[in-house]
Amino acid sequence: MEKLHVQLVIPNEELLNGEYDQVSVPGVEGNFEVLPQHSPFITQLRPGTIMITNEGHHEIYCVHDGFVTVEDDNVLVLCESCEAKHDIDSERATASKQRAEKRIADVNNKDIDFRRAESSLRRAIARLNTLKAE
Amino acid sequence: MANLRDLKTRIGSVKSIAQITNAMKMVAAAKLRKSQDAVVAARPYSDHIDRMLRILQKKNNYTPHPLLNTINPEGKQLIIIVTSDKGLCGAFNSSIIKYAVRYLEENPNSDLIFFGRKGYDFFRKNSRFKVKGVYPNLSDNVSVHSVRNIKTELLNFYNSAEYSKVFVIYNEFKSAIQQNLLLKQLIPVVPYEADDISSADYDYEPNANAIIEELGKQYVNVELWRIILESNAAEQGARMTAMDNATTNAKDLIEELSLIYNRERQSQITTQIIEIASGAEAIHN
Repeated sequence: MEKLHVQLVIPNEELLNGEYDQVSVPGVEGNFEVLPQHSPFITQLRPGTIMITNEGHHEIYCVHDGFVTVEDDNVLVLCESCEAKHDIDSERATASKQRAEKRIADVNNKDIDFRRAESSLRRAIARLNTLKAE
Repeated sequence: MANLRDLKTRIGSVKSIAQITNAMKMVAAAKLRKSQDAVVAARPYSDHIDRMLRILQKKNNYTPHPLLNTINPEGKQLIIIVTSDKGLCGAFNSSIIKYAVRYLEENPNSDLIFFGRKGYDFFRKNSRFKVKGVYPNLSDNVSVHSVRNIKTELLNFYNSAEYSKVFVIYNEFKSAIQQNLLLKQLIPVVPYEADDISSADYDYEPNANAIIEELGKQYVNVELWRIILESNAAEQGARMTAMDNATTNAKDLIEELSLIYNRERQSQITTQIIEIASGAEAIHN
């Protein structure tokens, strides 16, 4: 059976480099699946869960931003920060979600950088969703 | 007698200098290993980002994105000069400064940014060029995130259309004993004719321009980061070599001084014996 060659690279490490069956990626315009023979494309990532499957076994990561290239059955995922599912601290993620929500709710406070609060909320949600992913 | 004592103190001080340079050499060697690992670890990511941007550049020839085609061809040049904060690393800084001075003579319409204190110290005293930023303390613990502010500032300068190009002068890490002085054009990105880029047409999500925008920022960020890491590793390598040479020279000097010292001591003893012998002779007679 045909396989995908998947590389998952962050700035100071190559997290994955191998042959897999299927990759599911959170693109800016929605999640999508990559299978062998996919047409070439390049996309930006949004915070979310990336799942890389080989013979029923999943590798699950939470990515925050980055890019994906698919070309000739090569899938290259570049992201600035990326955590493996088992490295995510659920309590910390919940806490940072609550903190971000509180900040966003505080509409009248001019000291709050809403864009930053929003992106940290997105990241926290992405982490929590990654924990639920099976 | 005074001469002998002087020599002895001198030998003593050279010995302690040799000890210090030897210790510095060892410290540099340990740091070099760390910085070298950081450089090697950073390469895959920066190479991939670089290649990806080139693919986009090649496939979108007519995209007039400012990071790919200069906004203002008549503008000034912005030169980033990368040196170390500390000295005692041989010709590491002086070669950069010498090169920069020559380059600026040919391109006087330039502004400067400094990574590392040494370059700034030199140009602050000796030049009329405008300094747009100084960033000391960029050690090998820098992460991509920590360079983000520098990137943002740099892009603001560039996007203000005051500058035509951004160049970096830095030492690239070749090996522990070899550094390569490089002049690199950072912005706009230099296109290259790669044959490893497939002819396939890509689909873009959301669209090519948006990806070039984001990827371009990431490219500048990662390049700055990589340049800092390279320069750090090169600095430690240069320091290790310089300190090794210093230790060897000190040892040679100790040997030379010991020889003079012993010779001097010998001749003093000889003189003393002659004096005693001739004294004894005089009494005898």
